[in-house]
Amino acid sequence: MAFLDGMTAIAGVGASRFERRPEASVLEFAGDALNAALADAGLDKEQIDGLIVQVGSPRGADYDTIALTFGLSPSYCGQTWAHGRFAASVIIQAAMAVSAGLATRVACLMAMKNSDIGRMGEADNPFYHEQFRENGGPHGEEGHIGMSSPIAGAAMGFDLYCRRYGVDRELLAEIPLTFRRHALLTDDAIMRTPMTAEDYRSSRPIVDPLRLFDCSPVGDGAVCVIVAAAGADAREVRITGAQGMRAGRNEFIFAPSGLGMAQQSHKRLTREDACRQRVYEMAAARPDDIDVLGLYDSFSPLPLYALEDFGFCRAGEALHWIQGGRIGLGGDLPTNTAGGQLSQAQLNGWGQIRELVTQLRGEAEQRQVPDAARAMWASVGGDALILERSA
Amino acid sequence: MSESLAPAVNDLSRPFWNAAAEGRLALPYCVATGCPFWPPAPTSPFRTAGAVEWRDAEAVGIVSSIVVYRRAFQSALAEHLPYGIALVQVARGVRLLAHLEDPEAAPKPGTRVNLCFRRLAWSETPVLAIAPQE
Repeated sequence: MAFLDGMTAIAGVGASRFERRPEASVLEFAGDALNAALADAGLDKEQIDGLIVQVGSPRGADYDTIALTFGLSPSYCGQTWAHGRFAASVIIQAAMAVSAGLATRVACLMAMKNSDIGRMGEADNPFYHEQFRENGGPHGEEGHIGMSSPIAGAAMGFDLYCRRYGVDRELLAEIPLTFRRHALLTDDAIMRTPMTAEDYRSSRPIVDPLRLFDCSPVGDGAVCVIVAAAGADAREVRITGAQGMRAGRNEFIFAPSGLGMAQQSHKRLTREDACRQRVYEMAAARPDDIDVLGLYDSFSPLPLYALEDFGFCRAGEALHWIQGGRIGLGGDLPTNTAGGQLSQAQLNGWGQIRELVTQLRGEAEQRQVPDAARAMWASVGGDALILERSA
Repeated sequence: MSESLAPAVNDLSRPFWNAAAEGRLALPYCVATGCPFWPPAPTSPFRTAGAVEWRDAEAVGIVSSIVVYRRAFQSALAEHLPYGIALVQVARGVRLLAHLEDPEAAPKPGTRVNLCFRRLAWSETPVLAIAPQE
């Protein structure tokens, strides 16, 4: 139905190491990811004619600096804002540029370095003033009353969710514990110490009801994805479904649609509506058709909302639905199989997209989901991709 | 970088802060529908280019949810830990965030609370807070 339908593909993917190395340059991480993706795709840098950057300065490098530094000569460039979100949107923009004939091979690059700055909300973080942003910070912050740092919005969203559905907050443990188990099988994951339920329960409270182990470890790293026209390469991964980010008075970035802060309606998506969204329609797929899933998890409650808003279960059911190994390797719906942002690295979701490509190529080794043919990336904000292995 | 915790006040939000300085809660209303809304907007979010006027609203509400800070993100707040933030349903459809000085005595979600404007230890401007419960 749509011009993106399988006409474009992820031709290569690459990543830097993930670490906290204050003395490094973010361009070193960017270069490692870019060169790894080029090698993976079998391309020379001269074959890149599109460049879309997520994050950019001050945590990353802007598109022009990237092109200048690495000797790229793209004739189609784009850049999204300096936060997370928009991973799917960047890839969608690249696919649209290829489909529309504005570029043939687009490098999508997320590179950032956080180890030399304070946490978000602290005075030595370049985003300090965002908590005083007109009409509220990007995560619901209101610094003047002490509502500071993204975690507070995530905590408020989760408190609201638990009260609305009368669910036990401790059920949330399944998310960080599952993703940590996956990270133990992932060579480049940052968090490779086994986590027990007791470790989780006793981790330091940050903003109740969330704890330290509900937060992704902020660090340094980069991922690069190269988007091109679908061809005959057996390793390429086709983009068959796509959907952009939602916004509006019924949306809050850290809550399901309709249940966030401010004047939201409390009207949730029905499962039927969720299953009729554009990403599914475009790929002629339903949630049951997804073999492996990647979900945005900068904080551990966020995957719950994406599971509900994308129709894997009904509104209010996710905390129970995920129990019993369902989202773990070997379960019905293996999710964030490399550890996600919570345990692999906080890369704004790009780590999950790289992992989905690896899974669809059958190259995930000890993490391989058997016969993975169709994968999905979904974020609580509504942007999503369906990816399929080459036939 | 300076660590000011002052709210951003400008022409759009000034009616709220002027009322706050006098201890009143003022909200923008959509003239066409009569509905209050938040955050402030120069035209109504309910009507294309719809007119807006500020009116006083009753400074009471129902607590929707609460978070409690166990870690401070600004040095000025460290000595005030733990403190809470409540999401409070005030006039029709409007939910506001309010500071909660003593989370140990937090009102249970679902209870009706009085709101007030108070100069907190770090603020020169009175900001929205949950009034002590009687």
